[in-house]
Amino acid sequence: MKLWALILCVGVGLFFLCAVILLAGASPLAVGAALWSGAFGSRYDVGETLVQTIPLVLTGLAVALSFRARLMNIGAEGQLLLGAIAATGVGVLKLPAPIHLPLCLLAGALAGALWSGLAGALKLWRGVQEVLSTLLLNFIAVQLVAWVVRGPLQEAARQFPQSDRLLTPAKFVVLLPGTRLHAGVLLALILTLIVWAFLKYAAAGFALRAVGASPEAAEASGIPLKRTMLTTFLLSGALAGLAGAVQICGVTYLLADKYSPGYGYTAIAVALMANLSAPGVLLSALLFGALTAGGSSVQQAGISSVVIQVLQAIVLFALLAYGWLARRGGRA
Amino acid sequence: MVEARGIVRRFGSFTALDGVNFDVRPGEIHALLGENGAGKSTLMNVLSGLLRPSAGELFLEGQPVRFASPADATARGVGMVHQHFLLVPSLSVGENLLLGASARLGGPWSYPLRSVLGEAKALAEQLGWKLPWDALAGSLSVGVQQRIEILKALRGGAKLLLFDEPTSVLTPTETPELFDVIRRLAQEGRGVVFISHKLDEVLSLADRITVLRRGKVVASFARSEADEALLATAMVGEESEAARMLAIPLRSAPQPPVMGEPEGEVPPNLEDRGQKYSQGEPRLTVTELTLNTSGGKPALDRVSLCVAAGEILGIAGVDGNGQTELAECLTGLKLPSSGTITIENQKPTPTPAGFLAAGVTSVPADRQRRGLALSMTLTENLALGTFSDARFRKGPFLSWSALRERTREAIARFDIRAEGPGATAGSLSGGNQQKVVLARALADSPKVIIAVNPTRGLDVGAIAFVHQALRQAQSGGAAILLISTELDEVLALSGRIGVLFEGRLTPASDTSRSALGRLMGGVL
Amino acid sequence: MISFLLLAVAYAAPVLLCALGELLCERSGVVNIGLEGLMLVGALTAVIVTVTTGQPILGALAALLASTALGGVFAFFAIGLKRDQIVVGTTLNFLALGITGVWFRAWLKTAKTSTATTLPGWEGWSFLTVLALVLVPVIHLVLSRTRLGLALRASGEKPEAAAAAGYDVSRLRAMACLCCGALCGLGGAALSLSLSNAFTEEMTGGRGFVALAVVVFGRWKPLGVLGAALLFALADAGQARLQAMGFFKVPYPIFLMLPYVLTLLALAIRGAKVRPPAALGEPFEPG
Repeated sequence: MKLWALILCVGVGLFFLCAVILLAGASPLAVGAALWSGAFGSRYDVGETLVQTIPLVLTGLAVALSFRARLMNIGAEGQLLLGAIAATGVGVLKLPAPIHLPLCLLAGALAGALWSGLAGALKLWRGVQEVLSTLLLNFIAVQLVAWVVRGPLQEAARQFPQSDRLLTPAKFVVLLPGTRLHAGVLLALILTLIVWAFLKYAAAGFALRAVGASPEAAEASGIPLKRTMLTTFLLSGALAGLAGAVQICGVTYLLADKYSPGYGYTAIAVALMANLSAPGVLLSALLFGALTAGGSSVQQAGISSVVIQVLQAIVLFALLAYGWLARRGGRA
Repeated sequence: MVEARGIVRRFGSFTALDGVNFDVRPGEIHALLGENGAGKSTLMNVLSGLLRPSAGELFLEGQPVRFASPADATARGVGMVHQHFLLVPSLSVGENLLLGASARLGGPWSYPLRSVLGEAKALAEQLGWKLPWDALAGSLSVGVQQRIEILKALRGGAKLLLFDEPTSVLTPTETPELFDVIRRLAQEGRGVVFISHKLDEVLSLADRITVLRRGKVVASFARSEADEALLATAMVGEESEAARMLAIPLRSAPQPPVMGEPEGEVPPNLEDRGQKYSQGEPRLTVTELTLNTSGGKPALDRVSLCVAAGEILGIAGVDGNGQTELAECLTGLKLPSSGTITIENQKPTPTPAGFLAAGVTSVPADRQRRGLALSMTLTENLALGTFSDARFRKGPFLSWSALRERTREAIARFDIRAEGPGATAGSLSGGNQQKVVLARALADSPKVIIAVNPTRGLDVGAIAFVHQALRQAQSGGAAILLISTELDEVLALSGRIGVLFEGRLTPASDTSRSALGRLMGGVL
Repeated sequence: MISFLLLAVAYAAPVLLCALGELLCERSGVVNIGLEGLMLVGALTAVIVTVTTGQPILGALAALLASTALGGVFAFFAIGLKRDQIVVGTTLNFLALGITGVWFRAWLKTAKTSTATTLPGWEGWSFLTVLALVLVPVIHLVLSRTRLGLALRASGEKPEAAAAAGYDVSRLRAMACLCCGALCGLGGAALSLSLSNAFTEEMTGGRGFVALAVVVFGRWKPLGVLGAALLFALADAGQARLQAMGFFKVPYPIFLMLPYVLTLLALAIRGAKVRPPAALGEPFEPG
């Protein structure tokens, strides 16, 4: 029953995807092939896939964590940007080499936590729905980046809207020669493990899940609601902020206008596809990472790379429909 | 007037109604009696068009009918007064009436508020009611809201009226007023179906009584043939513990307490009630507890009480007189405006965690919201209660093996029917869910237990189990505050009894049903 | 000054149309955060159909139909399948962003020109601007002075009551979602055929999200929504004007940030006093 539902959803999803590609005047097979070779075609491409996966893992964990507590934090994008700003700010400073990278990451995490904590504070003390506040904070963050790369953080040459490059000690080392794969991938793996253990074994993680499962029951059992929610906002924001810092220190080495291609939004798809579990986030981030990396080469097949967005949406819709079918099947 | 023949209604594999025959004649009040879950509400929903029968036929004035929807049933003259009012709190009384008004008054783009109000005002006048037509429905008292529901049901000249547990929310003084109205409506030639599980009400109001048990009609009486013992037995079956429990207090008060003066009944004092309780040291002491609300009238007004170790103090009263607020204050969920709460002469930190640490556990009224997290496992639900307990902590981590072990013990001790510690709370039946709540509340021999309506919605076996568990905790030395709207429950378990009315607690020196009934209605 | 005010109203129209659609949705108990996507699809459809046929009116009509269809997709998942409304709305935004991008670039390759004839009008005003303003009292009257509006409000406040009164709550809500799609489509058309004459990717620039904020800021009332939309447009038009006059040395991005900061501040200040429809966001399970 569940298998049939899955096949049905995937089938209908593929049908719509093919329809979109055909209508845009391209061949679905060619697009598929381009996608595959772009994601896994060469050593460099595999590296690119993993490079795209890293921020998706971190933001995916951020979204999963807050959704687990039933907090609709859709502000991972903004938190990521704030993390990137902070990491750049620290990264261009002259600091002792061994602690330069850790300081960058710490600054990124703190800035993300701050940004998300703001939404948390607004929810807990002013009753502002986090859906609205985190969304608004995303837009504010985009403009904030636009401003700092033209203002306080603009390169010394004052030519382009971008920052100076990071000093070398603030950069992640490249792990795989010939690719851009950097040591941040290890950080992503370790954090996945930590988030998984936190949710499963830690008392605070249990509190977070209890608040998500039933705030009333959690409150009645002496779990501090406000503190748990605020902690969740802060942790979630820190993870997303870290994603921004990792991008700065591992991939771009500088901050520029329009910095994120929407990692924070794709993260919602990543987390949902993973059913909000930490190991699941790793897998679904890999899938979406491969799509993003492969997406840059679909242009060869005669279609815009934004087709990846369509693909993501169709995956999500199929997932939503599957969730409904599976629940119905379970009841009958 | 209306007749149901061989009605069957299934929900999945569960048969809620199994070949039910039922009819109502014009001018007749026909009571439908049964326990929770006997199928009364399902039958009512079939008659009102909300549910379609799986098999069987409905006849309206001799003609076979199939109601497509409640609106269809309404159009054919069937009106329903719901137990949980279906009024929109943020709309005015007039708008609420218009919402349910029949389509013949105009299409979706019309707004016949005036004619609807005119019709309703005329009806209200006949019944001698004065209603605040422009007030928001949510701002009105329960009794007034029920009147609006009745007006809604009567709109467009209903010939058959269905009342679903209409007295469950009323004070004992409001109940006879409602009964007068129901009698009037029947005298005017309407058929009335009256659902209740209260024997006294059924006997005082109905012309005919049909008893449902497990989806089947087990007996049907004319009023003259029926008495309480007969009805109680029919309702719960032969020789069951619960029949005796229900029947005994009723026999001691042959007259329904709310309907008139009892005949020469000797008010039993505490010793007569055969309750033993130790004169232990006071555990829970509440002094002059007041909780103000934004509405003006305090929800709790200078409540003082004291519960000793090994004692059950019963608090009776009709829903909405401060029970929820009292329980919330005593578990740290709400901060009182003034007054003190002490546990063994210590003031607990005024948070839920603080009260738990002081040894206060609770059986909350709403077990599916406050009591349990339905999507979590039994182990996790039991762990909710021990969240800050050092025994189940290893540094920042919870020791899940110990918690699972504890859950296995609870499953055995409380006879919880579940697949194991890993089953979700939502997969259990209502009775087993309540056992999980009890297991958590009683686990570590708490000093004080606050139990609110601990048996609401449970079947007879589960009720007996809960009562036994509470008695055991009592003999184990716990101080128990039992807040319940079921007078029988309060009478069966408590050593001393108080009554909450409009936020004020009155100790009952006379614990006869009639005296308590008067207190519950605010007659001091 | 007057021309400045007129310009502000013209700026407000797309957001106002979307916000009115969202108002209907939310009053019926559904929160649709896919406005941005609905608007984007409307804007692109309007341009393509206008360029192809040379008729901006047809373009606006096509925008209405396309976005209504997309509103139907939202209704299918959020109401038919009872999926989480926030998630469905987010997905809708993904879909619209992707589809408009793919479609637009594919179209550019074949189109002779990407510049569309604008809707007849003056200073950014067109019949869509007028329509937006007219819809404010119309929706107000429908909500407060018709049985349909009453039923819609009831399904947002207490769906069980509306269902018991004989209304099909799911159908009412789905209708509201379709209307929301239609209005967002017109909003998109106003953006691409009235305020400009071409489509650019992501041209809505967050207006759909501003519309969400406008609904909250306007306390779920049509007149309030009008006021809020005008306030935002004034800030928007004002910054462009002041910028052009060189009054301020404040960097441009800070100006662009202003509407969002304002909304956030407004929400923070109004905070607890803002009461959304009681059943907002909750799927309704009959019987």
